This record gives sequence, structure tokens and C-alpha cells, in this order.
Amino acid sequence: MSQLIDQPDLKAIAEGDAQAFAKLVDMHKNLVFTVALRMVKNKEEAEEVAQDTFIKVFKSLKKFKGECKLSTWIYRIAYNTCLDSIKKHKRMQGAVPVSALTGMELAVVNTALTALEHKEKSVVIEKCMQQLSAKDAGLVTLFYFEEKKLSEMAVLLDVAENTVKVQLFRARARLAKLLKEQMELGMIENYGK
Amino acid sequence: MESKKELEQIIDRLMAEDRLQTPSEGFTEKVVDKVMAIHITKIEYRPLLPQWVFYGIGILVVGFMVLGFYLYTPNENYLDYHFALEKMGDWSSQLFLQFQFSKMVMYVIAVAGILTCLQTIVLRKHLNSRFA
Repeated sequence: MSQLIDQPDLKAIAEGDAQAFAKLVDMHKNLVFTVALRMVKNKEEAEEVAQDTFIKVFKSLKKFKGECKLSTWIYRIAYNTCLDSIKKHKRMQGAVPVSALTGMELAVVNTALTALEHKEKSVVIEKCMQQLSAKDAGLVTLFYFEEKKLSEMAVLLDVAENTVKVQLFRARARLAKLLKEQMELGMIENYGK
Repeated sequence: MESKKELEQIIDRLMAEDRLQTPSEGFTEKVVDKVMAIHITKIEYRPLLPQWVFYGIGILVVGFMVLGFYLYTPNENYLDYHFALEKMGDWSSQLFLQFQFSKMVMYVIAVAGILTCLQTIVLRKHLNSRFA
């Protein structure tokens, strides 16, 4: 119920209510910015992309018919705006090759992850995201922060549910590989001290 | 299959610690300012009538003019302006009773009247919705 009350008034926004629009921006800016930052890998550009996203949201708000959640619709715009920006600047990052870690390697990564403190984990995540391809970084971020449902992710990315499943598996595998590399680097650095 | 599940669990654990990044201070204000500027521009430059109405009116006017041109017969209803000017001083005369418009003038007045009515209706509707 409180969620419904907190929803911004879309009609008011379309008619130019600045306060209602500010409320909508405040609700979604952090995730939009995080996705943009992880996809375009540059803070200034991420801010621009995030701004463009909200301008597009405002311009096409009348076209939103409620066929999916408002947040899903906004993040779809954000995701596509990031891809457009990357395409415009012609610097699509090459994906890390998918080579699944063995059971032993996974066990090592798991143990090392347990030993990490909260702050260290955040640093590791950021480093991994910097190396992950734009599409994978966007997919993983949106999945873990927003939807966590393949059906919603399928709507968000405008692909079939099975495609999302495969893409998510590959993104996780790449992330695990980068995580392992980061752990190894960390161990080497610690050993050096 | 086993390692797939393990991989999922590891990434789930890792991402559970993930935190959202925040944009720079004043991000919301900047976006709202930009959007409001767009909104105001949209209001300022939005034409009162859609373009097709103008095309319709244009076609009507041209149509009436063509019709008037074909129906126009100079000898029947042509106003003798010199004669009218001579009689201008004599207001008591029957000048205005004799005064006759050409068909062309009649058509132009009719079109102008229709356009005025149309504009008035549309303008009233528009202003009502704008200031409601």
C-alpha cells in the first residue's frame, strides 16, 4: 500500500510537475547511474547517460502504457541509452572469454571470498565490473539490484527468457573468472607486504 | 550442473555485498531543470492547430478562390467605384441600398467568417484546457 502511495504521479509529470518528476528521479537515479557507470566505465559519461535517460523518460512518458513495471521501463531506457552511447563512441569492450572455472577453482574462490571483509568485497566488485563487458555488467547489475526474475529481465532486455538465462550464466562465469584473477592479484600483493 | 550451482551461489554471495553508486550532488536538480526547459519550449512552440488543419484551410481558401474566379462575371455585379465616390458625401442618398458586392467579395467574406468561427471554437477549447 505504502508502495502505491510512494509512486510518482505520472499524469502530473507529463503535465510538467517538477516536484513529481524530481521524486521519480530520486527513486531511480542511483540504479540508473550505477548501471551507466558500469557499462560506460566513465563517471562523467555515466552522469550524462543517466541525465539523457531521464530526459528520454520524460519525453516518452505518454507512451508508457503500464505493460510492465515503471522501473523496468526506465531501466530498459537506461540500458539502451548506455549501449547507444558506447556505440557512438565506438568502444565496445571485448568480452572476457567464457571458460568455466573447475570445481576446485570455484572452491578456492569461495573460500577466499569468505575471508574478504565487506569493504574489500566492494572494491573487488568494482574492479571486476570495470573489466566486464558493458552488456554483462549491465545485465548482472540490473539482475541483482532490481529484477531477480528472468521474466522481468526478458522484458527489460527485450529478449526471450531462455536467452536471458544463457546470458546470465555466461556473465556469471566471466565474473567468476575475473573474481579469481582479482583474488590472485590480491594474494600476490599481500604476499609482497 | 553442480559447479553451475556453485558458481551461482558464489556470485550471489558476492553481489549481495554490492552497493549502488550515487551520482554527483545536485543531479536531480540538473535533470529537472533540463526537463522543465524542454517542457516550456514545447508549450511555447506548440502550434495551436495541427498542421493538417492549416492544409485543410489552405485547400478550402484556394477552392473558394477558384470557384469565385469561375463564377465571377464583371459586367453584372461590378461596383462602379467612381460613381460611389461621387456620392459618398450624400449620406441621405440611396447609395448603400444600391451598394452591391461582387460574388468574389461575398466568397471571401464567407471564408473569413468560417475561419473566425473555427478559430474561436478551437481557441476557447484550448484556453479552457490550458487554464483549467
